[in-house]
Amino acid sequence: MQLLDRYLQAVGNNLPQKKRDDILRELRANILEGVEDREAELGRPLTLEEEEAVLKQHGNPVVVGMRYWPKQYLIGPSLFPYYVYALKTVIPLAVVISCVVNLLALTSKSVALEVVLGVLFRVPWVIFMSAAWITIVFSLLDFVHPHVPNCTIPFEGWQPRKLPPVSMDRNFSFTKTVFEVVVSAIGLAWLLSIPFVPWLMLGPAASQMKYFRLAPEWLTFYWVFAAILSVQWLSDAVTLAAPAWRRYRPFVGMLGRAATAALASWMLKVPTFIWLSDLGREAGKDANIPLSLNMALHMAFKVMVIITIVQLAWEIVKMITRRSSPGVQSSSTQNAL
Amino acid sequence: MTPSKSDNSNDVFENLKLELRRGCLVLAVLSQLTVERYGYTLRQALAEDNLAIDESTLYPLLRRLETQGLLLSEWREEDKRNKRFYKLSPDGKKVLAQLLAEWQELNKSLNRMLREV
Repeated sequence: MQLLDRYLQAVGNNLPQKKRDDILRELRANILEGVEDREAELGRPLTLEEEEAVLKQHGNPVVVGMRYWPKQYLIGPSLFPYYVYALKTVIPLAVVISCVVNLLALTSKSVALEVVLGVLFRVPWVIFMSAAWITIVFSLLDFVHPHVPNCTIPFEGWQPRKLPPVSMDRNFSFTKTVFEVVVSAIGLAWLLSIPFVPWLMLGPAASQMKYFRLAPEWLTFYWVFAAILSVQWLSDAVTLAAPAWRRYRPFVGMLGRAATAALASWMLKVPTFIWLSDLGREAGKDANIPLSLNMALHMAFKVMVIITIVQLAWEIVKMITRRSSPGVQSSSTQNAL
Repeated sequence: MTPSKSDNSNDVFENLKLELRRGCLVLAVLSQLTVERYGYTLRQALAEDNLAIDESTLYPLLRRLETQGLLLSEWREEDKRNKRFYKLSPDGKKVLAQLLAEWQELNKSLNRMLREV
């Protein structure tokens, strides 16, 4: 039975080396026994097709061989839930840290666009490397854990009382927050790039800026506004990695709106936002341009104050409504218990 | 083409049936090895009792049970062919008794519950 030798050779290629010959000897004896029974039933030797059918029924050589291996998974079922938890926690955190560190480089580098693109292109690499390291650590842990006596997994010591309180943000969506964090990071990078590349905000009009002077209050406005957005972005990013922080997210959002409204109100007190520079006067630029710009900016800040106050009021109403809803009350009661 | 609902429920049933049988497999194999047998005759004995098992599942399972100390094996010649015979080890006998007790308890509970359905 030449086919049997070829079949056993194929199975042998996938067997553990130590037991290979013994297993093949046993398989040969069992298969030949089956063939003999079949021949006795038919009263004649098997045809090639019938031999083939016997081997086919025995199973694919790769599958048959692999079933003799003692362990066929990288991370076992006892550790797998913790592995997934680690992936979900560490990867967003690694992405946030990588983005923050790289965005900080913006302040020290003049070529801001390159840095922004660098941050974006590095994200898939950070995700890949974090996942690879977590997988290596967990597969090692899975290998070592059964061989160490009295070794307990740190995650096993959880206590119900240490679980995070019920979140105020009941509509929290992980995917939506990831999207918001990424979009906000791009927006923030754009905002922080403006001092180095004014073209990013003004477009072709950036070349005309030498003919105008800006009020010194603009600098304060710019940095305070960037700080408010950074804090909000950081708060969103932290909630991805630390679910316990989700309860503070609505408060951070409201504080951000209040601060923005206050900042815009402060800007409304500035008498003149922009005026012609000496170069502008010498170049004979129209004095009505800064006049129109000042009116437009004043109006823009007024609209900004109104919008942020309306948003803030709406969020406060939503929060009060949620707190008085039966679902939250019962959760609070459970918390008290 | 998307699978129909009945295809899906058939798949679910097949998977659940497989899981149910897998749970009983070790008990069935151990129970058949109170007398010495080799792989091929063990498979036949199980099939005769309506518990057919693929060769590619049964033979590695025998090796695993032997590694766990539940079976003993030896090569011996029978009908002019060398065969590997398996039988329960003393530990295997203890584990079989424990598993049987567990199985009977489970069976009792299930029968009670199913009577109420």
